[in-house]
This record gives sequence, C-alpha cells and structure tokens, in this order.
Amino acid sequence: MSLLEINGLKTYFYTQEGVVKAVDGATYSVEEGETLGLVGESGCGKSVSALSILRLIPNPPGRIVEGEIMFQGRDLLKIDEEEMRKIRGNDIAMVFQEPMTSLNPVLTIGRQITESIELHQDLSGSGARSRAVDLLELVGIPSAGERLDDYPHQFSGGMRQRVMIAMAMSCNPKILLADEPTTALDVTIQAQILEVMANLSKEFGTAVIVITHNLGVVARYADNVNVMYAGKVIERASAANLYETPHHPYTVGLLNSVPRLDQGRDEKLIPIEGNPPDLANLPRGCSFSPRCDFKVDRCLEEYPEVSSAGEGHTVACWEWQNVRKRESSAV
Amino acid sequence: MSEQTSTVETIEADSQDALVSVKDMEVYFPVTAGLLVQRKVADVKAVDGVSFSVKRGETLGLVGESGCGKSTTGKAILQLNRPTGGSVEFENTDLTQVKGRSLRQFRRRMQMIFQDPYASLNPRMSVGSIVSEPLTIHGLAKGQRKERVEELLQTVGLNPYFSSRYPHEFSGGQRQRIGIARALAVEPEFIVCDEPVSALDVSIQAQIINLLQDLQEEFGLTYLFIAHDLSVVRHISDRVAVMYLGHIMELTDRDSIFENPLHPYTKALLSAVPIPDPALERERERIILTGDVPSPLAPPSGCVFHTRCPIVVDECKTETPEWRNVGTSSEEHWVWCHRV
Repeated sequence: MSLLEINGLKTYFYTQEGVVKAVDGATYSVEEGETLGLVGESGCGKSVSALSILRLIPNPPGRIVEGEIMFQGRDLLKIDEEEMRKIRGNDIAMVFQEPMTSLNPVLTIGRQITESIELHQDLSGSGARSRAVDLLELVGIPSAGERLDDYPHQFSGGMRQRVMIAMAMSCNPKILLADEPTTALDVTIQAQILEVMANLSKEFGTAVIVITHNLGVVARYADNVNVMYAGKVIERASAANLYETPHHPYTVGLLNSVPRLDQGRDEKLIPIEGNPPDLANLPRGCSFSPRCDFKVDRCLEEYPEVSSAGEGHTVACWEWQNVRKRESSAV
Repeated sequence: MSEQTSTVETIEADSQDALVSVKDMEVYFPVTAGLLVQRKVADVKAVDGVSFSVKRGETLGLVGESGCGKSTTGKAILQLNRPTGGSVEFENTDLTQVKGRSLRQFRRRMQMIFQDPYASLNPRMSVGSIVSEPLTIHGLAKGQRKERVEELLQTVGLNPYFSSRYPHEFSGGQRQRIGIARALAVEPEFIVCDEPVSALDVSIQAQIINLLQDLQEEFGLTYLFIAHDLSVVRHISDRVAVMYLGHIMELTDRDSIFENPLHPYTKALLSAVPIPDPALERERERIILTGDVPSPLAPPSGCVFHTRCPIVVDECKTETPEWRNVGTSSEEHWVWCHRV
C-alpha cells in the first residue's frame, strides 16, 4: 500500500463564469520517502490538487466533488474536521510559494514555529523553543538562537523560505507538500533551498511532493514525475524515463520548448502552438487536442484511457505509440 | 588608470559597429531623511560603474539576480532613469547630455519591451490605440495609422481585427505580443527587452522568444536582453554580460561564458541552474554559494562579491578589481576579478 493514494480527485470551483474544473479526475500515488515532481503550466491544477490533499480548498467557491485521498489507509475526504486538523501540519505539511506573504508579519519567527510544535507535540515553553532552535539550525540559519525573536521582515527571501521549511518539518511529517518553493527566489538561493529540502527528505525519510513549472528542478531532485494538463495527470514516469522517452505529445512539446543551458542558439525552439485551455470551458474529448499535432478523430470525442507504457510509466493518450515512433525516428 | 585606458581602447575599437556604448555608467538613487527638509543620507548604488557596448544587429544578454541593477542599466541607457555618472553613447552622441525635443528624436530609435504584460498595457485603452500611441507622439504614419496598426499586429502574429479589443481579453502571451507591436511601431533600431518572457508560461515563452528572433532578422534590430533565466539568455544572445550588485562581473560571447566561465560568480550561477536532463544532472558539479546578496546601500569594499566568493583572498576585500580583457582582441573576454 502506498503512503498516499489519490483516486479520481475532482475539485471544482463554482464561479459566475461557470464551473472551473481545476482538478478533473487526477489519480496518483506517493510512496514513503519518494520525491514526486508535479509539473505543468499555470492553471493545470497542480496547486489545487495539493491543497485538496490538505482540504484547504476555500469553500465557496471551491469544492472537492469526487474522488478519494487515502493516507495510511484512511480516506482524508471522509474524516471530520477535528481529525483533519491533527493531520494537517503534523503528518502532512506544506511549504508555500511566496515566502514574503506566507509568514505572519506581526509574530516573531519563534512564535510561528513553536505554534505547530505546541499544537501537535507534547512540548511547550522552553521545550518547544529549543526544538525551534534545532529546526532553524537544521535548515541552515546561522545563530539560530538569537534569530528566534526576530520578525519576518528582518529576514531575506531565502531565509524566510528556510523558516517556512523549518515550520513544515517541525513535526516530522510523513509528507511535505512544496508548492513552487523556489519560484520567487533567485537561482543561487533556489539551489540552496532545494539542497536543504533534499537533505531533509533523505535524513528523515519524508516523502516530498514538489509542485513546479521548472523542468530542470524536477530533473535534478525528483524520483518520479507527474505531468499535469487541464486538471488531469497526463503522464507519469520516473524522472529518468520521462526525459529520455516522453510519450505524451504535451510532454514532448514541453521539453522541446524550453531552452537549455547546455545548448546554444543553433537549435530553434519548438513552441506548443495555441494557449492553455479555459478550465471553465474545456473541449470535448482530450483537452490537449486543440494544440496537438497527433490528434485523430477519436481525440475529439473521447478522453483517452490511461495506458501503460513500460514499468511505472503511464500515459493518457490515444496515439502515444505513434508519438513514440515519430520521436525516436526524429532522433 | 589602466582601467580607464583599456575601456577607452575597446570602445574605440568597436566604434564602427557599436550602436550603444556605455562608459563607466553609474546610477545612484538618493536615500533621504527628514520630514520637512529632505537631506540625502546615503546612496543606493544600483549601477556602480559599468562599461560595455552593444554592436549593431547583435543581442547582448544581461543576466543577474534580482536587485543586481540589470533593469536599472536598461532604463538608464534609454534615459528613463538619468545616469548619475558616466556616459551613454548612441551612435556617437552622448545621450546623457541630450534633452527635450532632441532626446525625443533619439527615443524614437530605441524602445523597450516590459516584463509584466499585465501591468504594462493600459486597461482602458484599446489595442489599436495602445499600438498607435507611439505613432501619434512621434507624428508618424499620418493618415494611415489604422493600416499601420493592422500591419504591426500581423507582424507579431495577432489578428488585425483585434485592434478594437481591450487588453483584458487577451492571454499573457498575446499581451506580450501587443507590447512588442507597440515597441515596433516607431521602427526602432535598438530595443531593451526587460525580462520579456519571465511572466509567461513555459510553452508560451518559446513562442515569444522565436518571435523576437524572427523580428530581429526581419528588421535588423539590436537587442539588450535582460533576464534572470540563464537558459533563455544562452539561447537568444550573441554575447552575455553577468551582473552582480551594480557591477558587470564578466562579459564575453555566448559560448565562452557558458563553456569557459572565468569569474567565480559566473561559475556558481551556472552551476545553480538545473538542466532538464536527469542523467546529466547526476554528473554535474554544483557550487552552492552561501549567504545572500549584500545590500546595495552598503556594498562590500573591494570586490563586491568577496563576501560570498569561494576563492576569496585578502586582496579582494580591500582592492577594487580592474575591468580587464583576458581574451584576445578579436575574441574579447572581459572580467572583473583579481583571481582570474
């Protein structure tokens, strides 16, 4: 049994423009100690699927309408709020994208870290404080003891993100959800933060779900990758397989469209034509079909079944075998 | 002294083909205190003495982390922020000395594409009036503005009948195309692209990068391409300058900077960028810099990078490095470091 299993998750937002299907039948699982990358463009449902795991979808307008989220044998969508609160921040913790806005500016760093320690663990007062110092040292904040009484504005962006990670790790969670943890940071700081997260995950055996649009970050840190498009997981594979032999036309397009540091200008970028779909008004059949080079009549009618394309490699595309053929002959 | 002469020499050597030459340019922003009487208490040294030239028809990439002064450099060249020191020559005219009407004439020849396509288009103006505004200001295409606007929209890959629509009806990528059409309207020679793709989704970034390259070919444009994404800069640039805390650390052609970086900051920056290839990633050596970028309000003495430099020696803390060419005269490789 996997640590976390998400089956057919559907999270919809009921807005004036119609029903926005942010997550529309996502299915995936996370093993213990695994680092899973969730990649896709903005609006593909990667953040909403993570927030759904913690049941943090603002209602109204959002609602989880279908599916199950099995964590250690329990369906998180069926337990009551009291139970959920024991899991949130304790077994499953989250690091948010914006380190500038996700800390409370009027509370000291120490108070914000000890809050979840006091809530979830049998520690209070000086015990919680010394645990907080340990955590800050763990994420690499120098002279941690003195900085405990500082306020967030006294920290730089990278340091704040370290504080966020310390808070998330405070109760030794089984799963750490990191929603674009480095997007707001500069690349040298990004490298520091990702290194901290990778070391913590190794040390404590924490499973990490990294949500990002940066294919490079995923290549460096993830074991497995889910590619999402319009609320669905369209391809899943180990990181090595995904970059080596992508099967879905969208994954192929995504990899061709990013410039790489190790390649010069001579190779022209191949963009994916068109725009990401409007989630309130998805096309019939496969939602990628309007932008797809491989589409056949069937794609306009039926959403593709998930096919197995090798060990641990699944793809939701009717034409994946043809995609593969053309890609390998192109090389 | 030698810093001065070497700078002058290169600029002379390039002067035939240099469209823009920047010499020891400084942009300081005053920090004031006092309620009624404002007095200056300090300077934010956003750009602190940079020298480089942009050759006609080339793309010069300018990379660096946030707050390193790259956008300020771009704006100072266009005189949107007046430099507080040094000179900016556009075809041998020092723009820092030009004012009023004659500056406006130069402005027709240099344009800017902004980072955020959501903030850089006036939501109350139709696309047509956004694109034709520069024509009105410079008195161009009189009597046939409508046709010109339609032609421009077509050039950037938009449907001409979009001209009556408003910005909110467009996606990020389309808005950036509108911003590009506006910049092209006055037929400029030089365009400062300030992070033109960093607000866009990856699949859309490639569309805009290709468009910029096609336009450069078609109209013989010269770009200063400012970005923090090194992969994008490598893809689009002919030469690359790496900035850190108001100084250019290294400047050379695109392949040398990525394959043979000399400055320790460039090396660290490159190794921090992940490449979308897991097999390659496992092999790569990573240099993780410690600490954060110091404040430009009180930059470190000597070399500004010495607080984070992995190969720092005592000299770096006190002596300011020289801006020197360590390559040949045909293949220049400029670097600002004692240890190279």
